[in-house]
Amino acid sequence: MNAFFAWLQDTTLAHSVAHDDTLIALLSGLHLIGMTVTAGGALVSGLRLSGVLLTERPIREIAGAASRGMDFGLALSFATGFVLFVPRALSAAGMGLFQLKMALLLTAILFHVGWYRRLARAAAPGALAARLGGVLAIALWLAIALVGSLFILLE
Amino acid sequence: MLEILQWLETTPIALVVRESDWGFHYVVGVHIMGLAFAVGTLVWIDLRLMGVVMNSCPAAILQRRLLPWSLFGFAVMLASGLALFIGFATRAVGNTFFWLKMLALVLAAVNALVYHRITERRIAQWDGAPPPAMARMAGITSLLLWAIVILCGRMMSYTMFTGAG
Repeated sequence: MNAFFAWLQDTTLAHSVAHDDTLIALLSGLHLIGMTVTAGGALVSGLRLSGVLLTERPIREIAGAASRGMDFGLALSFATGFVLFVPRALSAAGMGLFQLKMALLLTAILFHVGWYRRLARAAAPGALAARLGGVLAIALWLAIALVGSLFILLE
Repeated sequence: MLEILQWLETTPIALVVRESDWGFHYVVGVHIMGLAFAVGTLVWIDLRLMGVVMNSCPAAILQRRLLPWSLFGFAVMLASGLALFIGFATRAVGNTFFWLKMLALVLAAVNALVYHRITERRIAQWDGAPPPAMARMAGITSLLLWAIVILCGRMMSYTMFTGAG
């Protein structure tokens, strides 16, 4: 695995990003914008699914739209996060906080793609499934945002 | 002015933020959580004003329900942002991106006020139909300004401690 990270760190992409502080700051800003949209989408859809927010409106109208927004935020965060990772792949991969963030992220992506998107866009999801899904989405994405915010400071 | 900033940097809050092992990290973590609540929920109000999402839901209902969550987030962001400022006051005022961020924040507040005082007053007339140009403008302006606030916030982190900003 370390050989792969070392190779990644030696690619043209890694070298061109590594020495450009302005580009790194800009990518980091875009990464945070993506996180804001993803975590915000999780909050709005999760609160609707768990019966806390906008209960007078259909689940699909609120949670469906917010979960589509999460797809966009996630794509933006993922793309910028990867480019930020590449120049320091070896050191980042060895950090406990980064490993925790990746474990949470993998869980959240599998949960989002495998279940949550369908749940949020369903016409009438079961009450228990909706509550459970909503609470899990909020907990997972806020945890990722929190761990990520601690991680970016330790670069 | 400089004396006030220097005094701020000697207060207990400043010392926790700047000199304790984890103080800075915790405050930044809280600031980012505030951002997720504040802008993360505001995004949906703005997109609805632009007529992009949740168009079958009246804008009045959406903003009435989401705004308390946004305001909670803004309060958290303001408190943690103030603590961070107190910790690094002299460096912050010497940083271009800090002032750009403050300018964008003021413009976002003005945009919200103009929407509240003018466009929102007539919401009963236009809600239910495609949003009028004033509502669309308020939504897109808010989104752009908050994107600038976030970008400048990150630029601050990368320039404040190197003197590059």
